[in-house]
Amino acid sequence: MVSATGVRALIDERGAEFEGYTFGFLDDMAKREIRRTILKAVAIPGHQVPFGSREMPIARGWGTGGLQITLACVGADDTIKVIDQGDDASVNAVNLRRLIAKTTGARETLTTGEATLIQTRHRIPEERMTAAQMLILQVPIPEPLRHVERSVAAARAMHAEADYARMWLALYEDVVRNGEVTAGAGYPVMVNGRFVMAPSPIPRWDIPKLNQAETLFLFGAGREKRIYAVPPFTNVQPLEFDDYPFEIEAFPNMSCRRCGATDSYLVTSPQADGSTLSVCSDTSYCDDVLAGRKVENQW
Amino acid sequence: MATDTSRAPRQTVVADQEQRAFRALLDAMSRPGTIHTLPEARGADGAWGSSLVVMQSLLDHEVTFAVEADDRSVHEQILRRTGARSDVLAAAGYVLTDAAHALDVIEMASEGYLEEPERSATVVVRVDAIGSGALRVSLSGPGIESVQPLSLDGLDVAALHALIERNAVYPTGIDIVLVDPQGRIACLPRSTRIELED
Amino acid sequence: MGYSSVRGGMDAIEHAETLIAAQVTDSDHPVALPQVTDHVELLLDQVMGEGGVYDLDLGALAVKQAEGDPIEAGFLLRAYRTTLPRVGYSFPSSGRQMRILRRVSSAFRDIPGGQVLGRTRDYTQRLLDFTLRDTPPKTPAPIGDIDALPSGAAPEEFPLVIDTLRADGLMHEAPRRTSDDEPFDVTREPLRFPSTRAARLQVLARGETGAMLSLAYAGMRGYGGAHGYIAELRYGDLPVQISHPITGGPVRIGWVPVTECYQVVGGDEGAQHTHDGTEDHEHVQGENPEYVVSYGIVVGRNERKAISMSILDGSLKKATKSGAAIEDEEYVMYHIDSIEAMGFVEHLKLPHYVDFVASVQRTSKVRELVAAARRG
Repeated sequence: MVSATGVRALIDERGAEFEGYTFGFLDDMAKREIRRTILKAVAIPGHQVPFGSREMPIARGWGTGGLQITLACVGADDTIKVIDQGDDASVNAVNLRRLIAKTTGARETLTTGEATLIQTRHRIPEERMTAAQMLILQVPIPEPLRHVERSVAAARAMHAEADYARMWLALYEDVVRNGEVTAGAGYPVMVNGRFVMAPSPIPRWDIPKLNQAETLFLFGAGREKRIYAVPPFTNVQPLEFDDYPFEIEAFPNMSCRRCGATDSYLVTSPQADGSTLSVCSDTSYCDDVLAGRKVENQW
Repeated sequence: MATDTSRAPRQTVVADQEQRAFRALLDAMSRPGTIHTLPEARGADGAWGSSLVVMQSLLDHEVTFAVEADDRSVHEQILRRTGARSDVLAAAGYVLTDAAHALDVIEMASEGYLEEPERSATVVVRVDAIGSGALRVSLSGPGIESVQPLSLDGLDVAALHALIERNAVYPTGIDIVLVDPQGRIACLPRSTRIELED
Repeated sequence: MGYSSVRGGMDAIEHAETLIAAQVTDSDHPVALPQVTDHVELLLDQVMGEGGVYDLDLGALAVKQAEGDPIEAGFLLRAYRTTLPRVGYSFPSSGRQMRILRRVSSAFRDIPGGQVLGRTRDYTQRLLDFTLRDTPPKTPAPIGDIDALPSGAAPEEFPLVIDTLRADGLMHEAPRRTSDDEPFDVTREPLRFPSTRAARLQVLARGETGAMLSLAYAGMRGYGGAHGYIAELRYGDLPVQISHPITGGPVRIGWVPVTECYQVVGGDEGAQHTHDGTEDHEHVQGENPEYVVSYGIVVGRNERKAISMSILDGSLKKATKSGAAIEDEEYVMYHIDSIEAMGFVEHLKLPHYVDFVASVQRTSKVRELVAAARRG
């Protein structure tokens, strides 16, 4: 439990909690740099803006990019929610949320509708987010061209020229070989008609939510030191061929074993008796359905 | 919630102001042409007060700035408040100007490079009023559902023509933060299409 | 996964922390920090070097808390380092100012100032010493009859070997600094490619010993390494000087122990290199059969890494690339940082079940398509 030791270290080191640390762990200069980067990213939707990613008390690859954005944005009036795979109870989500809370005093919530800032890994909430909210996505590999061009410098040149021929070729070869585009989570998208962007490993189910949403999406890749953004009301289209249209995951004849929902992204676990158990990945949505609360889930 | 936050570090007054100013800027940049209000801040009064709040929330000694304005004391105040390094207009990362010099600034400020479009200037323009005035524009593009109207007072139409021209070759271009002395802000990022109304 | 309450997730983390804390402290023989600083010095040096913090107490604490895992300990130091304000900048420190404790050259039988073997295991027999099982409480007889350099010898006694080579005209002059630009700072700015040599050397200096050793070894076996000679491998203390707040002149505030390796790469090999430290790539192959230097510097005693670093520096400087991975700066610089690497590799422990559902659906779809095609 790498991340836990990191946090523990800070707590032990400083005697109690985060006394002696700055509000939001990051120093003011780091926050300012991240804020400047976020504003640039918003002004150039889908373009990866490099930033001086700081070392965090959480391991690289465990949400340091999202965490730096969250800590640079969060203020006294915010309510935060952190999810991993849609689940607030996932240990890494718990660990990130308590770090944010302990270093800022921000209110925490498990309810999508109550949060002003939601940090997430691999999911966009089922409940439609509003203009008063922001979604901060943790990103492992920000470069959508990485599998067709491993050089960062060369990929950058391709983005500069909007030269996505090799990306299209790779998708075409995929169709030829497999009969369809086989990308599952992290399906590449075109943002504002200009930049091909890695949406982070969200399932296809969540890709349409990025298009013309009311809310702002910020993407943080700590290890790769990149921040990018999709502003509200921005065109975000999956890369697709006319004769091989993009399709999302389907759960025919399935429902959540816990709440009965048939309109949410379901995840399955094998059971001891050989059957499988399907439940909502979004625990907040599942709670709402279970409690009979009506939430808007049409994005 | 389980986490005990009773001993969480407190935000200093200045840091709190900067964070609120940033969130106003983020909202404004995400939704071009919509009007947002800067926080009540220390030293925010006077003709340049709200402009300085914006500069202070973004600048420190890691970045460069330039000021194009008749009032020379503004330059000195930014140096003192932020520690940012002064640079020539064409190279500065952040530029503060009044409406009178906006045309020159928009024509001269850095637009970045195709490979690094983020290495361009953010230009803060002090205008007389945002949300009212003779200059009316219609905005569209990312951040705007269909069309966003915006009225401005004190900015010359030539400056907007220059901006449209500078931002024609997306993704290079400059991003504009409009500020008025009442603490209102609105943004015109390079991705925004601007149409002038009669 | 599952519908454990949030309280459950928090409980699990807190219990994990308790288990770790117990491992670190619960025994009849808890580790005292001086035991680390005095007797586990090589591990400590590696941790401080890769963590980017030179502080014996913090380093020892990190080693203790991480149960001796060098990467975890380096990570603890880095996470602490990031919270420290940068109060100022030191003056550049040159290897010429080193207070020498050890120096050897393999390119020459003897060198001005002489070879100083110093503290090394190189010529010991690697036999387990069973007498160490029951350590006597006091140190054995003092090291009386060794003519040691107890506090380091004065720098001027040991001129740099490469300076001699330069004086003999075998090597290019040291590059002049072309501007007053601040060196690129890899802890503040994201890497941009092609990078500067300053950025390369910083990344290499913070790189993980094992990763660098492995790449350098692959290079020596024919995968793009720079074949050279060790003109000088030295260990000692470098002065840290800052600007005096009143006079502005340099004032020494302490010493930092470092290991330096100067490798000279010469002849046809050398001709394929750009020159030391400059950004000029004008050099034409075969034009200038001089030696060039490949450099390694590491905090503390870590000769393995210093040599590996000099090999990687030499490979990255090659003007004519063979296409081998270790001549590719993106490949080397992105992959030798153990703290970034371990985070990303180990993040596979995090749940990925949402992605797996997405993957399974795509796989099923392809299977259906294949089956349909077979049916005709």
